[in-house]
Amino acid sequence: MKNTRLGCFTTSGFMSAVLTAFLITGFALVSGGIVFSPGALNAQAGAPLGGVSSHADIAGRCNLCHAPFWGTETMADRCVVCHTDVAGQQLTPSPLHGVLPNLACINCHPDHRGPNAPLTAMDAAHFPHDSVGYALTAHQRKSDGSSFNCKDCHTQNYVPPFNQAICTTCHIQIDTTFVQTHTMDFGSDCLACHDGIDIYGRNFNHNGVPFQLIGKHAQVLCAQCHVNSRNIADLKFTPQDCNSCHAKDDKHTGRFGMNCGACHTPNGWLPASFDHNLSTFKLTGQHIPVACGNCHINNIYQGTPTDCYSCHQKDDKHKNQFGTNCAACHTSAGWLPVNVDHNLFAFKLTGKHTTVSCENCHINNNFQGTPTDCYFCHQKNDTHNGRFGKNCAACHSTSGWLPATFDHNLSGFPLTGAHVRLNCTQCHTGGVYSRLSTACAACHAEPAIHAGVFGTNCAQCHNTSNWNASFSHPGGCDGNCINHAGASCKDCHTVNYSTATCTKCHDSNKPGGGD
Amino acid sequence: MARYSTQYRGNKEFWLSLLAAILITAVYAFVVWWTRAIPPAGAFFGHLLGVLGFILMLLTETLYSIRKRSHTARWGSMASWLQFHIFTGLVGPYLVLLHTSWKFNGLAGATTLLTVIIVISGFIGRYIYTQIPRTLDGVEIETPSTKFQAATLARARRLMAVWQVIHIPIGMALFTAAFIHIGAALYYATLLR
Repeated sequence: MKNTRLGCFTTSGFMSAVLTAFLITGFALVSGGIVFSPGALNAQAGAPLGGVSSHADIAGRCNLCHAPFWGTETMADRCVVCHTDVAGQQLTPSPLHGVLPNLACINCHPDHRGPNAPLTAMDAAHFPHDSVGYALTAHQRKSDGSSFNCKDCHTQNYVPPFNQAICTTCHIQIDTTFVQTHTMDFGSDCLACHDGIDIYGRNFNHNGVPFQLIGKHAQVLCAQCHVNSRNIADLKFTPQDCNSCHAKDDKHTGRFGMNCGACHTPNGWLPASFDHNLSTFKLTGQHIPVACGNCHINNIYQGTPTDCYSCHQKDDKHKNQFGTNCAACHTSAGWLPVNVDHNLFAFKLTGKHTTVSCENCHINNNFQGTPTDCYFCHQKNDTHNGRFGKNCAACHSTSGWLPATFDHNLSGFPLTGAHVRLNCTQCHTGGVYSRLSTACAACHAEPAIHAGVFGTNCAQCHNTSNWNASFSHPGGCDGNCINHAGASCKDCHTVNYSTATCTKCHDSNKPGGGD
Repeated sequence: MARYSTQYRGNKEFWLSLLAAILITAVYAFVVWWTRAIPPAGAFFGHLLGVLGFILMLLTETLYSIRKRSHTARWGSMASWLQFHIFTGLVGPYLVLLHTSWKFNGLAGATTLLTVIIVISGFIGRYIYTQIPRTLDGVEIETPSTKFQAATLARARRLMAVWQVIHIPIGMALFTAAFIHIGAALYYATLLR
């Protein structure tokens, strides 16, 4: 059967283990705990304490100093059983033992280092310097590479307050300019900020705090923001709003408020990203490319008037004739095209007037008081040479000069009867349309048949509908004496009306003289 | 017919041990340079050295033996386990040596001495071991092919038996002392405050 035990579990192995255990136990019983001692205890005799004058006197009596780890008692508790003076000092704030209440005795007073080794050793291997609020992490090596000694910094004593003059004395040799500037900026209380591990020193990452250093902020000297900061609290309470630092840079002199970040970024004042459309005056059309200073004269950005005329008075070609509200006709897209509703004015544009350019009527850009009578504009077009007066609209419309609609009956010579059918030029010869004589004879010469008997007033006998309308034959022989009804005038007046003959029908001119 | 080799294969474990020792020495030297002091046995780095060294020594003591005597475990060849046994048996004690902070007082000093002795003993045992021809799996050859081999094998087996009588008790003494040292350290120095 194969052996399944570990190879070491042999008879000789067991015997060896048991023998070793017995030997060690025996040594421990004879020598006390010396067999477990990592080194000889200090043997330098001092004032008797607890019945002994040195630690070496209690060598082997381990439990006088060492407390088992499962108890609440510590080594320090057992130290002060003998070192009662130190116990008293720990209750007083001024001596060193009172200043370092959180340290164990062993941190400064190691033993088991040989009979002549010093009992006080506040070196890096034993003394946790960070327990006094200042770590030696950044003070491991001097600039020449050598180690620090306690007295390099603690030139006078170890009891607080620490004389910080030594900080400047050393560091000014490393970087004179920086230390001088740094001291001026932040004072000489180094420990108010520095804890020895450079949390707030060279390696401080400002981007780990709410106010991250971006863009130009990363190039700024600390003291430019942290003005008169003298400790961590001061640094932390540095205002983070833009205006606290940049009030002096505000070219808007406060007119845009204090939140620079609304338009600017830490990358520089320019380019700024002001959204003008968030203001009450939105930028559209030709207003967009305009430089800010064109409207915001002298960099005045608040209270800038939003009415057109404040900026565009100089551009007003109408010379204020149309008022100050340019937007009534113009848009920000440009002065042209103009969106004028001329029909809102007393002079509405109809017909051919709608296609006429403004300047044709509004001479010299004179838009106010422009005469509305036809003749002001159309005198030059008057082919009647003024003979019909100045009111073209009496006959013409804006649809064109022709067709015209002259109502002759509105004149002093209404057209009736045969006159209606006449062409204008039958009366108005030579293009003359005014001040024509309305006398009949002006057109109608007395016919030879009248023989100058009836005068020039044709209307005595004639009207425009019938030449023979109302003639009353003189001589009392109007068909009474003899029935001449049915005879025409020329039956008797064969030559003219001043002479008459009866012989056309009768045998003689003598009344009653036969047939 | 089983394949076998009369010579142990190479010295890879020694080179690996040397490499590990160089790396450990480099770390140790850095700590010495950084703190300008020998790392105390009771401080963090010293404890680390001691704990790691002791764990490696425990592995040295147990794993090879368990594999050797297990009925079922067939993971890895015996030769490989011996290589691991030698590797941990060299690197572990080296770590323990650095843990001492070069003080050899009392029980701790005696334990260090036993550690040195067991390492030397191991070297000797390893030399004897290589005299015994084995298969590639580490199994001893029962049927030597020549008369010379038979004589060598018989001598080597006798030496091996003698060596084991010495090596194993030293190891047991070492581990007994080490456990008591650890217990005392826990008792006296767990909370040095």
